[in-house]
This record gives sequence, structure tokens and C-alpha cells, in this order.
Amino acid sequence: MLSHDTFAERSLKRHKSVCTPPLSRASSVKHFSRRRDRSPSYPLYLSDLDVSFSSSDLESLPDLSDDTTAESSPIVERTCVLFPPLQNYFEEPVKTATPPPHPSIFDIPEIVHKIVEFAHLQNPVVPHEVAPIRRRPLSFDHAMLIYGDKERASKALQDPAPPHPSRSNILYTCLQINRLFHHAATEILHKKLCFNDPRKFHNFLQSISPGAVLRPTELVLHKMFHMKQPALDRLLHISEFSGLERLELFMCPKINASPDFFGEKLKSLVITGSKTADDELMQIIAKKCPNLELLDIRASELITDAGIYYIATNCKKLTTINVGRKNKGHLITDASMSLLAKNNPNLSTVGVAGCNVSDRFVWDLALNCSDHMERLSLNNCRYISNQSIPLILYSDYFPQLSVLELMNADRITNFRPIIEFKRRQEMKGISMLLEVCEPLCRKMRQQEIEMDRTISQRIFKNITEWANSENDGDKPYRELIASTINRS
Amino acid sequence: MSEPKVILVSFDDEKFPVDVQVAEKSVLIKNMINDLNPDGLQEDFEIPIPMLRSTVLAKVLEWCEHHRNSEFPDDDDDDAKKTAPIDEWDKNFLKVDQEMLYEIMQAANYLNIRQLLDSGCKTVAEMIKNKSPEELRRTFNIVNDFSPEEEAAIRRENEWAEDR
Repeated sequence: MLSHDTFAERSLKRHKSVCTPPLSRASSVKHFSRRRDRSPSYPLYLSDLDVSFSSSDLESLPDLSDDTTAESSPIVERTCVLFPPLQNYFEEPVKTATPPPHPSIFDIPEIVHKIVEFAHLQNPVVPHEVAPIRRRPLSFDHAMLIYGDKERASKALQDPAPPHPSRSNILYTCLQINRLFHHAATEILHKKLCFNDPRKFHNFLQSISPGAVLRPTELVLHKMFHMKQPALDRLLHISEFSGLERLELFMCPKINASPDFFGEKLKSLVITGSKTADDELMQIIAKKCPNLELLDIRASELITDAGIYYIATNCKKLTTINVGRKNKGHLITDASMSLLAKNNPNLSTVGVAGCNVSDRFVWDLALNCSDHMERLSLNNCRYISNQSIPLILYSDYFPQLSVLELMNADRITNFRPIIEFKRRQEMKGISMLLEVCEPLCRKMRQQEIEMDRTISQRIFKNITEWANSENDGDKPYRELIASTINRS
Repeated sequence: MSEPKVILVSFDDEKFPVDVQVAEKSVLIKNMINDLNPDGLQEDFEIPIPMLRSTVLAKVLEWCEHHRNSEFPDDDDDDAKKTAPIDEWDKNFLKVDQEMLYEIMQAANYLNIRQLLDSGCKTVAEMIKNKSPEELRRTFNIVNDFSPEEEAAIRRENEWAEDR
């Protein structure tokens, strides 16, 4: 492995070599000539410079040690290197040619580090599920209801095209450019750990030199269905997680989330489809991660009201919570979710699909989190009735709502307020997505048609009344003729 | 009396009088002004910057002038800010030949103008995509300081990072 001194150390070295007056002349000459060797095609002025140095005309360099202000303050000390006394330049014969040399930007550790980091961020590779624009229809009839014509309906029923595998390999490329780029890329790779292949995870563990300590800020393990605990334990052994901001164990059912992962910095936590995450883990998380903003525990079905209650009591900064599940929905109810809504007024995304929450929870959301709510999934929430969503939307709560999912929430029968709300949102420029299952979709369409019929009847009635009324606001015909004659 | 100006003098002796507010986009110059004029600027203040050619200094000052009222958040570690695309104006501003781009970045680094440096770094970062290490060395004039054995070792040891 290559050397692993940190960037701070490197930049310190650079800082010393560039900024400490007086410049060591021998080393600066060496420095410049080395640069010439490296980049023969570098801007012209470097070769001019070589002339001035190779003629050993070193006396023309500003004599920095003579500057009396040098000792006064660190700022001035630094500036006197950047701004050598002017008169020296006036005396210098080559002055008009070119300014003093700069190191190439690709020799400056801070800049290289920035470039590599930006390049990495411009091409994210973290594995994640691409959110579909809307859910796949449940049947052909359902698709017909949504899309209207056969072609689009059958297209929507097909499997979505697999997302393009992201093979950006920016960091891998940077590793091979030169030592400095290698260093910058390694630092990022060791900070942001994400894997979706157990073999690569194993190779990664092999590549860490003994004694090194990793301080990751991100750990993402994606769909490693068969990964076993010992592999993760090895990572735990060589890492220090107090700086971890994001932890994602996405569909890695056999892995235990160690308490070591959790700290105050953690903002985003995803543990989905886990067969091990339970209320005890939630209690630890609640205690150690008060700054949590995103909690996604979909399909981790061991977690119950008790676990959520711990979270609800200790975490007050949540913006996203998802406890959706297919089975064991009875374990999550208003008892914990209502408190969560009350303590987290910034919630903007809430998923309780398949849970036994009732109208009370939805009202608690409306009363506490109305302003920020954008996405709300109540799929398969069979206790939601006309007493919540229709009334709440009628009263104009959730002004930012743009996604509402009500599949199989079949106690809802009153769709008119929902349709009206959707239209109001569209008037505001929020195009709202409303996901419903086939039976609900039918009911809604029917009500929508009736609604439109009533509206158009009312419009027609108004026009007829106005057109046929005695006083329609116009002057009677005779008066109009008379007034034009008078005027002429 | 009009406000005192800061007069920046480039390597080739060209003088650039600018408002204090504009010059202070550079943290280095800002600290200098404050340290050398603890009571505030009373008269025009000349600062020689012999590291910069006048063309480069003019470009940097054009940026400072454009952003004279821009507020930049101080937060250094905000990932959202780092992932933000380059400011549209900056993007056009940095559509210059590579040599000029590098010189502007060097200037931003010396003068400590972080947002300009960041925009420059993002511009260079965009050039990295879809290039091989060898192509990048050629593009950026970087010398390969690895031995062939080291290169092979890097590829072997970092196979796990191939798709990063």
C-alpha cells in the first residue's frame, strides 16, 4: 500500500515549503526544474523562468529576509511571500515576460482533493432503488382505468426496464493517475463504503493494511441477501463509526446492526427487510441518535409499537419515516405513530403502508405536520375512513401534498373532496399523484364524472338564465339606436 | 469624498482600482486590509499582487464584481452544497482555455476565494468523466509517478472499487 499521511499533513508540508520565508533557494530551484521535467508543454513562461534560474541569477530574487515587517504578524509574514517588495521587480530585467511560477494546480493537495471529491459527487454510484414515477397497475383493467388506451396500459404492465448499471468508475480511475490522486481517491473510498457484492466487500477488507483505522461517514450494504455476520464484524473491528452520518442495510436480512454504528452524527438510517432488527435495537437508536432525520424500517417486521415509541420520544428532527410492511401490520398502531407525529413537526414523507393506524393518526399528522407534508402512503391501511383523509383535504390541510397513496384503503367512499383537493393543488402548480387500487379507482372515476356533470349543468344553467333574462346588462335595442343617432 | 478604493497591482504593473466590498471577496485581501488598517480604510490602499498577470487578475476581479452581493454560506461540510451544480454564470465565466482556467484557480487558491475555487474545481471535475488514467494524465499534464509494478498492485488491490 502507498503512504497514508493525511491531507492535513500534506498541505502542512506544502504550506511550509511555499510560505516560510526566506525561501530555501536550493530547494526552490530543484522544485522548478523538476516541474520543467514533468510538464514539457507547460505554459511558456516556465521555460523563461528556467533561463533566469539556470543562469544562476539568484540574486535577483527578492531577498525576503530583509523585509522588516516579516516578524510582526503571521498574516504579514505570509503576504510578504506572496507580495515580494515591488522595487525588486522593477530591477528585474525579465519582469515584463512572465510572473513568478505557480505550482500546477494538480500538485496542490487541497485542490486535487476537491476535484476528485466533486468528480465523485457529480457521478454518484451509491446503489439504490430507482423510485418509479408511479406504481405498476395491479391488473389490465386497472391499467386501462389509469392510462385510457390499450397500448399505454399494456406498456405500463410490463416489467420496468432495469436501470442502467452505473459504471462511472471515477474514483477507480483517479486511483491510477498518480500518487496524489491515489491518495485523494482512497480517502473518499474509505469514507463512503458501499457494497452490493459480498465478494467485493471481502476484497475490500483484504486491501486494508493492518493497523489502519477507517472512519467512514457512509456505510451502504445493498441487497446482500446472503452476507453473514462475520464479514461485517471484521469491518467493525477496523473501523470507528462515531462520524457515521448515513447507514443503509437495504435487504440484508442476516446482518445484525451493531450498536457501534449509532452515534450523534447519524442522520439517515435504513434497515429494511431485516430479520434481526427489533425493539431493543430501536431503543438503542433512539438513545444514541437524537439527530436522526430519516428512518426507513420497511418490512423489518419484528419492530413493534414499543420500538417506535422509543424513537418517537427521543427523536425530534425526523423528516422521513417509513414503517410500511406486508405482514404483522397490527404491531404498528396509533399508540406509537401519533406520538411520533406530535414530536416531529417537520415530517414531510410518511409511510405507514399495511399498518393498523387509524383516522386518529392521520388527524395527528394534519394537526402537527400539515405545512411540510409532501408524501403520504396509506396503502393497505384498512382502518382509514371518510372521517380522516376526505375531511382533512376538504379543510385544506397538507398544502404541499404531492403524493397520496390509498390503495386498498377501501373504507374511503367519499372521493369528491379528494378530487377537489387534487384540482386545487394543480391550480397551485403542484401536480399531484394519487395512487388508488382498481375498485377505488372505479368509484373515484364515477364520482369525478358526476361531479363534472353537476358543474357543467350549473354553468349551463347560469348562462341560460343570463341570456334569457329581461335585464342582461345590455341597453335595449331602441335606446342603443337612438344614442348612436344623437351622437352623430 | 468618495469611498476609498483598493488598488490591486498585477505582476505587469497594471492597476485595478476596486471597491473594498469587491476586493474583500478574497479572504486574504480582506485580512490584509483589516490587519493593516485597524481603524478602517481612510484613503486608497495599494496592494501589489505580483503572482498574477493582469489578464488573470482582471478575470478574478470580474468574478468578484459579479458576486459582490452574493451571499455564500460558510458551512464547509455541507454535502448538498458540494453536489450543487456550478452556478450558471460561473460556468460561462469559466469557459476559457485550460491554461487560463488553471491560472484562475491558482489565483483563487492564493487569494483564498473559496467559491471561485470550488467552481473551478467543479469545472475540472466534469472533465474527468469517461476518461482513462492515461488520457487524464495527458489532458492535465500530470506525470505518472507510479512504477509499472505499483500500477499493477493498485489495480489488483482495488478491484473492489472498479465501479466507483
